[in-house]
Amino acid sequence: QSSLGTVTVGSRPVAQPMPVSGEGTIQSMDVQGSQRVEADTIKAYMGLKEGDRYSPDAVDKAIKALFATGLFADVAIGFQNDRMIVKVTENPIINRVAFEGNKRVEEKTLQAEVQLKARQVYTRSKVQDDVKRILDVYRRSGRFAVTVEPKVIQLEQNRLDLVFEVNEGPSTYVRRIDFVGNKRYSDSALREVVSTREERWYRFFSSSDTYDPDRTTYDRELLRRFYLRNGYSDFRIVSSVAELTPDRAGFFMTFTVEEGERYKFGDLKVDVKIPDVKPEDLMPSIKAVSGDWYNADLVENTVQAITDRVGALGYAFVDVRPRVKRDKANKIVDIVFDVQEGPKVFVERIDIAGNMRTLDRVIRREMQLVEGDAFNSAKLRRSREKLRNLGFFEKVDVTNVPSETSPDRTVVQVDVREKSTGELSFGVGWSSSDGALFDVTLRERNLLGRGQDIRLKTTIAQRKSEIDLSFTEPYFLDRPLAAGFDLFARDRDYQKTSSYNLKDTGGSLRLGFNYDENWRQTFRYTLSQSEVSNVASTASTFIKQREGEYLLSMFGQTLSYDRRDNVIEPTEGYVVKLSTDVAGAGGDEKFVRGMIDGAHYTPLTDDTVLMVQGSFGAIQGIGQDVMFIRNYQLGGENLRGFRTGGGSARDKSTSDVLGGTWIGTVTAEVRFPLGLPEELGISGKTFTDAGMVGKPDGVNASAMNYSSSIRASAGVGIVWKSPMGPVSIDLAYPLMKEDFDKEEIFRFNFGTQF
Amino acid sequence: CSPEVRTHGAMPPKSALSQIEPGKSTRADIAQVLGTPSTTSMFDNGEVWYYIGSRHQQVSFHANEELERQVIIFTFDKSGVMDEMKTLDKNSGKEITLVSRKTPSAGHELTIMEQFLGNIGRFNSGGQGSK
Amino acid sequence: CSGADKEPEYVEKPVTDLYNQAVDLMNAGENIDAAKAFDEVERQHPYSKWATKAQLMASYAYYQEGKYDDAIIALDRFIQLHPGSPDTPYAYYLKSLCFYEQISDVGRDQKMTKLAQQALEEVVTRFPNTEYARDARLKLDLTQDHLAGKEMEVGRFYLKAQQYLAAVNRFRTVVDKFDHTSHVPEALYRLTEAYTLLGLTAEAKKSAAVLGYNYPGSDWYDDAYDLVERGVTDPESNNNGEGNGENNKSWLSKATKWF
Repeated sequence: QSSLGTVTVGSRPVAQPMPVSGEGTIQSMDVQGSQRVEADTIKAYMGLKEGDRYSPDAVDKAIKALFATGLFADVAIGFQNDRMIVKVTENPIINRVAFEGNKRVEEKTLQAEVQLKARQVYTRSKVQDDVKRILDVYRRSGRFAVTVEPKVIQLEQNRLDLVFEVNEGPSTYVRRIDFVGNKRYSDSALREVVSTREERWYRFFSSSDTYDPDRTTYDRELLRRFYLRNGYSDFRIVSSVAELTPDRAGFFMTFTVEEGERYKFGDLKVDVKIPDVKPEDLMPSIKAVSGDWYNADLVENTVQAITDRVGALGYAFVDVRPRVKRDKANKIVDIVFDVQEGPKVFVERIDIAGNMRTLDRVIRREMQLVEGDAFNSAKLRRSREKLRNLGFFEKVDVTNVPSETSPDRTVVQVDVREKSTGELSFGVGWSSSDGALFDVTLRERNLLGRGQDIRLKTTIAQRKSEIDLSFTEPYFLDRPLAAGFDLFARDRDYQKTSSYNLKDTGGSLRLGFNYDENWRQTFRYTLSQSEVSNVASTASTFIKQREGEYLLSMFGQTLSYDRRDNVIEPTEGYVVKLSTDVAGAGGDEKFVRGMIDGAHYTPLTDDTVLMVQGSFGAIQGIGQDVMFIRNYQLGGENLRGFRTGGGSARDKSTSDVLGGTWIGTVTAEVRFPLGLPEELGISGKTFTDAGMVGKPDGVNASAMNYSSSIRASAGVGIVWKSPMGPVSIDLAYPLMKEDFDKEEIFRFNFGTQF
Repeated sequence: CSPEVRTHGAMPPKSALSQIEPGKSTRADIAQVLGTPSTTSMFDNGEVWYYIGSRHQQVSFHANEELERQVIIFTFDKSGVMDEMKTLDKNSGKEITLVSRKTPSAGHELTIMEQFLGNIGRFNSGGQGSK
Repeated sequence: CSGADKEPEYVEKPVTDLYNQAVDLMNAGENIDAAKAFDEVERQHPYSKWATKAQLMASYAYYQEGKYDDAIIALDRFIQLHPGSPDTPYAYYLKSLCFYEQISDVGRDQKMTKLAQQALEEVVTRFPNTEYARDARLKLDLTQDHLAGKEMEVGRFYLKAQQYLAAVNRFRTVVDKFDHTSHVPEALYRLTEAYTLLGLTAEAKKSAAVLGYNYPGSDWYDDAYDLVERGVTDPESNNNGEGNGENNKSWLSKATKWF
């Protein structure tokens, strides 16, 4: 009796599925339907061969094994009295994989992403996986309304062509970002906080203007941290919604926020549960000052400081937790820092993974923990923060897992995903002083994975051309000492004001470090060749006599103290900078120069900021006159309403500008919204500038028009964050001036960096 | 404000050390109070226990400076009871200059051009996830 | 624009011509074109015995061109389709070489070294008595040596940063877990250095003794001997006979050393 029982497990049903009846030994085996896969390969996979016992589940196992290989569309095993017949139909082989309808993402990227390649075995599950992968590529480049249809074209010899028909649907750019419920900070200020940007034509390099759900969650965290840093301890994000525009070509993103009240620090206490550590020992480590605006960063810094302080007192296993109590009525936040003994766990090892380019030591030197230390989660958080600030990584995970060797040991795992730290950026602009300008910057912030920064910048403008190369090693001699050098070649055209050209070629060495978070110190030595050239025949004799080349060999230092709330758009705080230079040491020029400048920012109302800025500089020759190329110029950038150098001394006969050996300027400016719709990004400003300037060396009074009187001006202007880039227009009217000064009522400045 | 002093390694406080007495505390007692030893002696399957800790300070641009160091040595008798506890500090160490030679190891080192140009091909494309 | 790598027109040719054309390309060093030609053989005649050979030759061409990812994909496919073929040991071996060639220097992530180790172990366990296994065992030792190099790199980092405990434990790992590698003598010497700095002279003497016993001729032992027995504080400058002089490396030479 030939019971051709076939047990089939497969995607396509077969006529009469009958379980194999009974058992026996396999006398012989016959494989049918295999074309590409050899018979003994099939036997090897099945695990059954002649002479073995067979039974229903053995057969079933064999079938499952064959399917697991993914080589077969269908498998059937039947028996003719102990002769085993294995009937297989192989999965077809792909002859060609093609894509149609893909405009945004080219074929090459899709081919690389897709697993199925020519000459591979076609299986339905693999095709589904590949469809998902294609959708993923599109999602990453910001397109979500994409559909992918796999189509199969049968060819002879059981081969087929696989075509993915892609319908890309509309592009999903972020057309606009709006904020609802924000009173204290304007929409444009918050747009700087989030990482997503509105779509701009010149943003074709970056994809930060495409909608990406993961980035939205990151934006929510950025917003929360921003508000918590500025006192809004109740801050809450009600919703962050991205709606497709009516023409389905982009997204409107709206963040609804609840700012809540702005809190101040109430009383700050320390509750210590460690024997013989008294709260007074830890009070000085509290970074926040009661009465100041609440700031979450200061709370975290206090946790770190207390952890270190307790460690120094001999208790390495410490756990510091801030207990926050909000008093909504009078908007005070009281904080008690609970300090208790933490679990006794040591760090066994710190393993760093993912650094394909960055060297292990560049990462390890940022870690706050060392192998063998007492484990502490605050130090883990600080380490992750420091690694993030390097700016080399897209993702930084610092976690710890228990170690197998002993219960009181843990292994810290640092997992980084590097991002391309190379930047190629272009800039186009126009300014009253330099005219139209164009610059190209090529920069690599993690050269050779050593954390070194190298930058090549070229600028070509109507009245200036410049190329400079700068290199910095942040950890010179394995200590936080930034050492670097710069090489530059500059060519400036002062024909309009003083009818000469100035070429500077040379280099400088520099060392920089921080005394603490606020004080920064840099030292530098500059060696450069200055050349005063093509002096016009009609130029002033004082300029003509200086035509030629001069060697400058100068030591200098700069000390700065910075308490601004942020560097890009400060609204609060102040910064002061003192720099001094001594030129001599074998150079032609010998002088001493000092410059002090400061700026103070105070928020008048929610969105208006008063900025008061002042600077005073002086230069004194040593045994020789100061060259006019080193003189200070009053007017233009530092005194609006006057042309560049408009207020400085000038040659009586040729009216060439000669400059002065000291200068003092002060500016007060208030920026305020113009009540225009927020998205135009236009804000107004009113300002008054004032300044005085000294005389040039070696020029007797009769030969020049000079006055040491105060010049002043007042004016209004607008700042427009246009789609082309920031534009600023100033209209300034000189109030106090000399009749020989040169005025310039209208100043315009536009520059875009993309 | 004085820059923070950072503690590294195992620096058990006096209060913990006072609970350990020679002639009475066994290895288990010590491990219970101080945690497992920082390291143990070599080539004699860990007869002697060491607890090594140090305090460091890093001021402006100076390198990381070791202020003080505490090396506690526990030796045990046959029955595993601690018979002697010695403490060394920074001065008992000997200042030496490290040898700068290194045993060579292979591996593909990125050349400057390769790494520099490697970036040009893929601009800083943020979310693009360049290869 | 069609560009250079346009898909070669789909010319129907007998399999032997295709195959020989591919081999000629390979011999002429045109690895990529050779790989494409071998692929063509397999595409047009998937069922000929030439197809199997062509798959292997294609992956070898990719390997020679340094296109390791493509080679690994092609090899995986070959191994899946022909697990029992006589060339399969070679396929496993070639795959392990693809990982081995990409091992990065000790300062960076050692993921490739670990992948290479797994692939090499597979060659040794699956085909123990082939000549591939012999070379694989040799390469396994080299990967082990490379991982030891990574431990040493971190150990030296901590030693230089005056974190002696961390350094000691790292060098101990090399001595305990990587005992057949070329880094053990230096590990023992670094232990001698660290223990001397810590003031644990007994341990310093012990590690110097073990170094002397196992590696008597090595420079490391000379330095260890100077350090422990003769109380020299700068063994390296002592080697070239300057005795106990103040460290003659001026500040500038140390600074420029790292450029």
